[in-house]
Amino acid sequence: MLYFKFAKMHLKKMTQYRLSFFLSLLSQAIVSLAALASMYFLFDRFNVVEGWSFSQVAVSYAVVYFCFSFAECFFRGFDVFARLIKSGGLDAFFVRPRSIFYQTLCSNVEFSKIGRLVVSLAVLVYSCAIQPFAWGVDKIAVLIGMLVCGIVIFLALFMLGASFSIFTVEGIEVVNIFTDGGRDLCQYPLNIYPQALTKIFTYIIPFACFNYLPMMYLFDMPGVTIWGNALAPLYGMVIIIPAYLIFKWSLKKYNSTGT
Amino acid sequence: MIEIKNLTKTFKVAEKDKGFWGSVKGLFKRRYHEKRALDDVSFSIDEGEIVGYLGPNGAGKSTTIKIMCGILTPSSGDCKINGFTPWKDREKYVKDIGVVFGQRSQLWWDVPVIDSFHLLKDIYKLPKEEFETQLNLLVEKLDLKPLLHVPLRQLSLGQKMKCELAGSLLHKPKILFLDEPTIGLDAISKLKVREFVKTINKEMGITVILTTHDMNDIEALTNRIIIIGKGKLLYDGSFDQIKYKYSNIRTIEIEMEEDYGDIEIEGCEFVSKIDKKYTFKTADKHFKLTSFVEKLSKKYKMYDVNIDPINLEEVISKLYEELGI
Amino acid sequence: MRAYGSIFKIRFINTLQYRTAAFAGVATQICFGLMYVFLFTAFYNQGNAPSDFTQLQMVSYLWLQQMFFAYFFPLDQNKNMIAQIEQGNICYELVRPMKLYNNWSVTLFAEKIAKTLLRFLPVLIFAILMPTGLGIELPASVGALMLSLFNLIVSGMLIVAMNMVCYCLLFKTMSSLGIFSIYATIASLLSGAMIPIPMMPAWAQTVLNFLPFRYTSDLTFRTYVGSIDITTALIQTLIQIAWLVFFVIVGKLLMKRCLKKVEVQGG
Repeated sequence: MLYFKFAKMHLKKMTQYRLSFFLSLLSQAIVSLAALASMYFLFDRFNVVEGWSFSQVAVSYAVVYFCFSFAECFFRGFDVFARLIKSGGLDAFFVRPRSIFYQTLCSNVEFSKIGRLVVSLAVLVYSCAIQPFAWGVDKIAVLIGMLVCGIVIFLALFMLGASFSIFTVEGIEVVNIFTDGGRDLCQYPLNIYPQALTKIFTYIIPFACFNYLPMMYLFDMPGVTIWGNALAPLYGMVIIIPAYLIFKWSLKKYNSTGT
Repeated sequence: MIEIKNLTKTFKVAEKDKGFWGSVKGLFKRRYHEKRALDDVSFSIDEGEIVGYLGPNGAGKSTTIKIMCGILTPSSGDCKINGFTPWKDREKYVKDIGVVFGQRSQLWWDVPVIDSFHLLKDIYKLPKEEFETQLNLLVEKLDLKPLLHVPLRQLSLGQKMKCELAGSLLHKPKILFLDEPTIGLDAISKLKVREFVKTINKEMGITVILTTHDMNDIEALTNRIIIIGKGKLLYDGSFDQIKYKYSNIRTIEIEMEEDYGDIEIEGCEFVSKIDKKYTFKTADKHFKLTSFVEKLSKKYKMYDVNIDPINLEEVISKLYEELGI
Repeated sequence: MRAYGSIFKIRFINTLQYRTAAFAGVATQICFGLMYVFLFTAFYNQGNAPSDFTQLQMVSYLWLQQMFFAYFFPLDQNKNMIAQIEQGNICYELVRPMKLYNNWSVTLFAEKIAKTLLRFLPVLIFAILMPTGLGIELPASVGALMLSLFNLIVSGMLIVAMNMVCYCLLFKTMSSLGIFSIYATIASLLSGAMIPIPMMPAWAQTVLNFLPFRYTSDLTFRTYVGSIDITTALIQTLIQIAWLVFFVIVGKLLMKRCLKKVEVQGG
């Protein structure tokens, strides 16, 4: 597949600057460790938050960070789409006989994000292992669903950010509110926030679908249902459809306005 | 092969208010005015032609090229290339075109050139044998062998351009768009690029559309030029005709022994003066240097006289001037 | 002095060019401010809040963080300077009649201020308009305000001085991106940018007292909100100044050594 050939090229490029690559890898790992450390500090003082313990929130942290770093690593092209526009790289995509979506996907694989990926995976495995309940097939399935859904949601957000950057390359920082902000906020259970915020992160940007709602199922919280909690990741993935359509539409816009 | 009819492209340009509140206002409400980047442009190009597409910066050259490559959609008008409308059948259409942007590389900066070529093979879904034959042909013609295994960043500008050209021809396009292919190159590299473009046009029958600011490119490659200015098509015809039109323009440089200030003299236009070096210009067909020098020598002491026929750059700038662009 | 003034002016105007970016920045800062206020308030609602850091103080602290986000950013990556170091063009800088150390630190400081001036006022206005418990409170006292303003200025200089040391170390490693972002992450955590230091466990706070990082944003904000009393704040201000002097000396010495190397090698 073309994507893997591109990935190989990206890897080749990175190995040209070995020290730099190694340091970036390390720095990415440190970023996630620092986030973990600040979470640890918080729980060291407050013990629980709205009935959630540190080990439970650690699962949440790990899921969110895993999905985010996975998307950042492998779908980086959408994440840095503004650069592609500025450099004229997007124009070059139009003269190739492949879809713009696919070429964007291939255009960037940021292997240094593997540093984050590894840390979050380690935390995920550890925090899941120390849970007091037994992991049945249903719970493992829900966990996998959460991971897939999270990756899809971050991809969708990156695509929406990319569409946004077609309209204003300079204002792109705003997108961070949803990606980085969403990531930072949603690593904690959503019921600690005011209702309005919870609603935004459930119905508009469905972070709750891969995190809060199914996690309540994992931890057997009171009042969970199969339809409302265990299957939530399935609902969340729907966001990719409007995201794809908006991306398509904004490319048309780019076609008719240029830069 | 290429049929362009009444192509028009307008852009909406936001009017920006000045000052802080102006830009705050601009966030919510914007006024636009229309800018015509292309205004009713029509031309056609036959298979196997080389055409120079000229015009000053901002004339609409790159807008046209972008439309022809399927990057931009025009506001109105039609463009049929190879039977396709570029922006409608983009993915099918672009299999038959090659594009080289002189200022921007399409190859990978940090990896050996050959790897970029192999990736292009996969992007265009080329069969292995077909790719190999074409690659070998290009390697031989462009003398690329020593460059293939070197990362692009270590190559000189001229070498890079050779690789770009090869990269744009791997899929055997029928049409090649060259956007300022000789920009920044040294004299020898320029010659090589021109030589190569001529060869592929002759031997492979590739139609070439080329934009450039270097008139020597045109001189070497083609006789047909299309000139565009302020979005309008201004000239479509032979380059020789234009050269002939201005062939009687000559520049006379005279070095005086003293500084005489500005000098007015009949039959010749005073252009400039640097220190004691005077420059005159004439468009008079019957201009005679001897009588001119004679006239001057009556009043002034001269040190050296030099006469130059008009060069190509001047032809085009003269033409732009005349066309009002 | 005039030369520094004009460096400052050019940097400032340069940053002002990007208005849309500034608006986007303000919107981002406000949203992040709100998000963190909600997040940490949720923790405070659990009880067990630190006694020397009330909820209102915490919220003010968070808004100050957002207002001065660019100012307290632990490591500003100036592309120009990095390129000069990495490509060895630094010898051109030596022809100028200005000390490189001064030139670069003024540049870094000017960029910091330019970025901050564009953003802090709208965020401040927003934070003032928010209802009690979600918005910024008045400073603890007039003295606290004055001292925190002083802290603010010294903090900026301290961060720049620390950055200068980082830039000098870049001469040696020649691999900016990784090292710089490692430093930025660690400095963020240790200066209280990720969670406010008063919310950290006691042992961590003790350790951080011996490091320079918290004498930037944390000291400034805590003086303002009155989480430390004026006497303590004054003592810590002295420590802050001592760190500044230390880093300026280290930076200048390092730079001297690096430039000597450049002169010997010829760039």
